[in-house]
Amino acid sequence: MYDDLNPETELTRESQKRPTPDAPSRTLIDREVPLGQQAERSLAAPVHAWLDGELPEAAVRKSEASKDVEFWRGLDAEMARVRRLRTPQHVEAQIMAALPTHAPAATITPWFRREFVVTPPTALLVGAALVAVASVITALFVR
Amino acid sequence: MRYSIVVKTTEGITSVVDQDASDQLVIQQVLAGKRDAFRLLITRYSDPLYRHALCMTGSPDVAEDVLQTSFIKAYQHLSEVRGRFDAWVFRIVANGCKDWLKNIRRSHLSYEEDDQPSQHATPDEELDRTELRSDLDRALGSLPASLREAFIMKHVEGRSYEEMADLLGTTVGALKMRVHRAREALQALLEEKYA
Repeated sequence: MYDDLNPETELTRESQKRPTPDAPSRTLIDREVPLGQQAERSLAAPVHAWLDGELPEAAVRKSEASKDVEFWRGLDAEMARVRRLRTPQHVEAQIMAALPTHAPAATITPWFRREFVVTPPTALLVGAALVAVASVITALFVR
Repeated sequence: MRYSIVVKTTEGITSVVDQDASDQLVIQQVLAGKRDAFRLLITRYSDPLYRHALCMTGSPDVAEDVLQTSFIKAYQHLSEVRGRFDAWVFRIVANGCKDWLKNIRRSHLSYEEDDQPSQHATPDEELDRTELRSDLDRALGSLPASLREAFIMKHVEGRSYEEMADLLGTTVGALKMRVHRAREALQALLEEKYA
């Protein structure tokens, strides 16, 4: 019996379809919806600047964007509640109980992978050493 | 001068430096065999990490799972911490959330199943869940993961763009763009009901 090397099934025909201009360019994850359909609403630059902490609220309220300011104030009040959420108390004990009983393995980093911090004195020292070595070599050749 | 309705960072630079030094001490203790010292790191950082996981996944149970898995991973690789522990563990949690979001589609698990109230949720937590909160969760869930992550870090966690760029390994400009797009998408989804 031979394997069908070119099966023309419904599935393959489906996957070979060219993407339409409306189709999202990548696979969306579960509840994601393509942004093109909803992000037509654009926020004025001063509102973004206010939300980014670069403009005072009063400056934005003067403009036509005062409705947006109200909207974001309401949303921020809700997000403040999220900011107050704490980890459920049982989680800490649950994590501690699930940790391995032995100590974590200490990794030995080879010298060439270790972090090398260059401070100004080190740089000066290395520079001076290089100049000294270079001058010694030059002196040897000149003789 | 900075104006903001969302950034509420109270920690000064000094306290961050102190905390980092203190974290390094705890890490040394854990590596030396004092397993219980790890509890201090969990207590210190679990709240912001839990909030991040909760906003990213939209499910308290999944957020707990992600948090637990991340802290176990952090414990196992504790000797590999370079730089600040909080930034390192944040990356583990953030990647855990993104992996979960990728896998949920593959495993055909629906959000609705996960949206059931947590069996551990206290009555207060349930009461706290207003209609706006549910709508906000749903709207956040409809955003692509990268926009959702940027929005949460900016508006829920109150991080600066510089800090976000450092944590996510991307540029301030790209993050601003993501946050702006997320805001516009959220407002488009919610303003009809709440404007």
